[in-house]
Amino acid sequence: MVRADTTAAFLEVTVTVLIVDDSRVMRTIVRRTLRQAGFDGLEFAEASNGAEALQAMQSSSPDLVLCDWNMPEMSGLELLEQLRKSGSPVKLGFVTSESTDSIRDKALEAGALFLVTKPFTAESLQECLQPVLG
Amino acid sequence: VIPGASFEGALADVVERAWTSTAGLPVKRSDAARANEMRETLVQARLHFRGAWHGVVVLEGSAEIARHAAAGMFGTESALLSDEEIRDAWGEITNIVGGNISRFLPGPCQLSTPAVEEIQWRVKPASEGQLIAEVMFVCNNSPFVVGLSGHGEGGHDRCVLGGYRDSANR
Repeated sequence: MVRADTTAAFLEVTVTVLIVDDSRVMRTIVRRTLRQAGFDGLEFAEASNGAEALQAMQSSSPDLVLCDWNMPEMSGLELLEQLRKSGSPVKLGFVTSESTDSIRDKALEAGALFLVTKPFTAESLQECLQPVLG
Repeated sequence: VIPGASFEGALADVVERAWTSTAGLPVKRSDAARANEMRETLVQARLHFRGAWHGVVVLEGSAEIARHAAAGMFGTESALLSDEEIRDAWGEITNIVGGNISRFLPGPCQLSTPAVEEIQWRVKPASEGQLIAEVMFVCNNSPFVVGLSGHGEGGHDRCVLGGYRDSANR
């Protein structure tokens, strides 16, 4: 896991978001767009696939996982299934370019809170995350 | 499916949204930017579809435009980017285009992760099966091209993508 920058020291409670995507540039774009959407003061962690995310979550518990769907080694859906199988209630949403009805149904059935389609905007990200991050 | 629209139009719309929202750069569809005039070394990304429909979406452009797009996506100076970061960015644009195209395909398909490499134009054709659509763009005075080709299960060429019969038969 790569611990990323951030957070405003004045926050009483730090919210940690784990961004899981095999593309480093997309992890960068997600972080940047979250800031543009007004979610300041978040702490970020990153992983490049589901397996790496699982490993990272053994040592720390994010408040929210934002996860790509199609990744090498372990997909986003496999990650979510593993988490639920192990009893983890962590909040997870998908950020993916694949947004067919079939994939959306699978994601929600597996316990995802939302699915954001790439390319996304600050507004579309805010709409999905506001109910989760408050 | 967008009734009555050409698949080139749908493909162009997806590319424009992917390009502008991730790289923050203006992009313009341009018939003047002919793909066969792109004879320099190109950066090519390929993303394959497997399942009810087999095919590939290909993004090709000069090293200069690939670097320019990557700079916009990473939000940094282009001179600071490594080759790996440029390949990552070029592949991610292709991934977004491919993922959005998948909704038009006639049945469930598995997408590969994008493969990115440098090629010499014409040495390695970008097609797999029948060419469905090819759209050319210009960004920062540099052309780039996005193509989609493929075939239905069993290899028959007359696959129709979500009703885009005219495009599929061109």
